Amino acid sequence: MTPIRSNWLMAGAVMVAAFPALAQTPAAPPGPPAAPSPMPAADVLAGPCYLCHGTQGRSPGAHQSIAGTPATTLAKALRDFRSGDKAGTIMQRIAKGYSDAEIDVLAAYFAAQKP
Amino acid sequence: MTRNHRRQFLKLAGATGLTAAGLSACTLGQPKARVVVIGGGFGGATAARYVRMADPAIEVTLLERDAQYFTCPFSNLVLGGMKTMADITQGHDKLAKQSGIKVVRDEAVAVDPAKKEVRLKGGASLPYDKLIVSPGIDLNFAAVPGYDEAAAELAPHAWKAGPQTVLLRRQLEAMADGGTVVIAPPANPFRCPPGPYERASMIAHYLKQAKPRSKIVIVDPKPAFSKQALFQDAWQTLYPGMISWEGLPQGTGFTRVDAAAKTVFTGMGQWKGDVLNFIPPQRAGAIAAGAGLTNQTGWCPIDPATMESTQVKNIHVIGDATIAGAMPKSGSAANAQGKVAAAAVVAMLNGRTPAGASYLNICYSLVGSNYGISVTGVYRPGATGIAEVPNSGGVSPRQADAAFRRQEALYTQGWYDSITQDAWG
Repeated sequence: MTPIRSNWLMAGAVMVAAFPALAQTPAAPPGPPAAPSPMPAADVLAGPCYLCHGTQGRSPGAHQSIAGTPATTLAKALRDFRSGDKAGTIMQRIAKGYSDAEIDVLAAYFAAQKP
Repeated sequence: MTRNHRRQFLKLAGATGLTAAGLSACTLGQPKARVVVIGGGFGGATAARYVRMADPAIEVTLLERDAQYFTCPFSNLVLGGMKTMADITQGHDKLAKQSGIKVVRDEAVAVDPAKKEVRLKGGASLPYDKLIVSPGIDLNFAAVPGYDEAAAELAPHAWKAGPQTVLLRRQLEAMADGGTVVIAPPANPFRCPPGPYERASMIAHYLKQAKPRSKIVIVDPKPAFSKQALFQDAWQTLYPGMISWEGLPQGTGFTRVDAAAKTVFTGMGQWKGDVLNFIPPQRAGAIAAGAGLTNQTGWCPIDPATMESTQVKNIHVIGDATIAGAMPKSGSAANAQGKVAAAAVVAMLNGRTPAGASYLNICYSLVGSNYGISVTGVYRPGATGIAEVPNSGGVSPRQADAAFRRQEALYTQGWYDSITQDAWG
């Protein structure tokens, strides 16, 4: 684990401590958002993630590389961000924009990328 | 023709005694299709790269008039003394070397959609099967009396990074302690909605250390601005008493600028600074209007599923020049739109239906060295344009501790490192 990552976890821990109510009662609605449009191709769906996580999930900087991470790990992280069970800075807000089906497509796509 | 096929073909040609020179252009010299990209900024560089990544048999030519591209993101950090111009300089060499893109240093002066040709300032013409136009913004120097290109040398806009950024920084350095910096942003829509307020923060970061008696006044022709509560909280914490924001009622615009006197005039009074940063109204880069891509708003309507112009077939428009529905004009948006346009163009050139669209915007603003804030949005094609996915996105929480702000400051740099590598290689 890199120092960056542990900072981030620390930030998360502090936040949860400051807002125990938030940590216990997820702000997100229980169900995933309705799919607003047909499912895009996996690489099209994944493209925007490269803004921070780097091209195909290989990050050159402060963000976590996600290429080659097991799909189950990624899918769980995204669902937990969406529900608010996992603390973070921006991912909670982003994950709320993705349906369960889309999360599974994204997780499979990044799992299949070369780390 | 894929690379493997071409290699096999050349081997075969050699074996039968043919030389490359003896082959006709239509067998060897002709690519599967030709894509021309106008503009090597966040949108254009990304689109060029992603067309080649998806289909290396397509020839991609990137037209860029400047040898170097200075990113607007992080140019406020140059003003604040945290970054240098070298830090915000991107080149196009890697696009040529790594991705096999033909980079042509010239300027598009006209587009002939009937002939499918781009005419260059240098005199040549470039034929295309698909054209991707990413011209960014032009500053409208006719919009406010007194603010033309000559005035910008006295009261820099610095809204296109480059010499204007350096000029504004020099003026800040030359200003005496106790001076006033007036920042005058435009009404919506404009490039980088949180930009003027990040700029105020970064200038305050510099002044607090170098000229602590100085003030910053933002004279704003709109009643509210992006991430307003977060910015104002941060200013109170980091730069108490230094930054004031004068939001003018809707419809109260600038009536005149006196650049020599560093003064802006509005229907609600006038403001005079020792340094004036006037950011004029904007419109799509000139080539967009010339190619028939703009409507009466001065911006380019697009199909939200493909970024293809709704006015001219076979031309896709991306980035700040577009009317992108709920998406702001930002480097992140241009990058996301560039990938959608590239995927659509590659699908169309291969006789397939474009495989949907998905967009994301992320705008980090650095307010202090360890203090970052963000706004994000997830977008999909909607019935009337690019639409935000309901109940997603939004700004950083207002109630957050120093560790959260520090982490978003680290991620501001992480975002810059990732997006610039994604766009320019």
